[in-house]
Amino acid sequence: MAQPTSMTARAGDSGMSLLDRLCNLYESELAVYDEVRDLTRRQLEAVRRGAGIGELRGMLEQKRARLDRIARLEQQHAAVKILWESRRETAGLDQTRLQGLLREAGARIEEILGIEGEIDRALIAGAGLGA
Amino acid sequence: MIQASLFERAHLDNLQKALNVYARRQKVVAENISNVETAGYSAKEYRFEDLLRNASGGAVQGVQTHRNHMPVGRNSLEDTAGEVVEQDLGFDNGINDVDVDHEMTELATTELSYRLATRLLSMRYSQLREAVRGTVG
Repeated sequence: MAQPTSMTARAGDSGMSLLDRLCNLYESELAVYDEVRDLTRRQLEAVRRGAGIGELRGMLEQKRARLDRIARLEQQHAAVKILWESRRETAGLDQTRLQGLLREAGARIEEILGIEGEIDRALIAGAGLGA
Repeated sequence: MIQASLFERAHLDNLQKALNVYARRQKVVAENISNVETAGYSAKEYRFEDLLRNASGGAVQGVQTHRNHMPVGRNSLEDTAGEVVEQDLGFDNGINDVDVDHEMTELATTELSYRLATRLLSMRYSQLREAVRGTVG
């Protein structure tokens, strides 16, 4: 049985709907943000125990690599996002998963930035980094 | 539980403010680095988070039962201005007190925070857009 047009809109010939591809993008990003959060937690612990600048720089590099990965993911999915955003018909599509992922990813970034705020305060309290 | 962070109850206008804070901090760090060999120069830093916390801590605070409610008795991000202060870390590079290693680390940290805040802003807009589309689509 044929599905309504709004359910079968495809991005390219991948056989996957725009919505599914968008959800997969945000799921991939979320997994990377989890890694960034874990790294940021380790960074906070390192600052609190007075770790050296080399160790902290290593962590920052790892975080940078992950943010670069997210930027690449975004780049690879730019066309999908443009197609999705230009669509008028979204009725009949279950966007719960997409909205949930967006909310979760936003919350994860907030969490990371919150931990970074903690790091700032730990650095101010400890007056700088270890040698 | 993370408290008094720059990003608790982050809304779009607060995110804009946060981006400004990171941009100003980057400018101050860049100025420190460019003056590493300037005799008599004092390393500076842009302080914001601790000012926000101190300002909030001095007031009687209401209990916020919903994130969309206006905070009572605490300074908002909008009300708090950051300031450029001397670092006073006691470092001596032979010419002045700029510690390049420290500044480079600060630059990297701020850049990452800026990128994350930008992503958060983008996520929030996407979230809003999808919520609207979900309602009227």
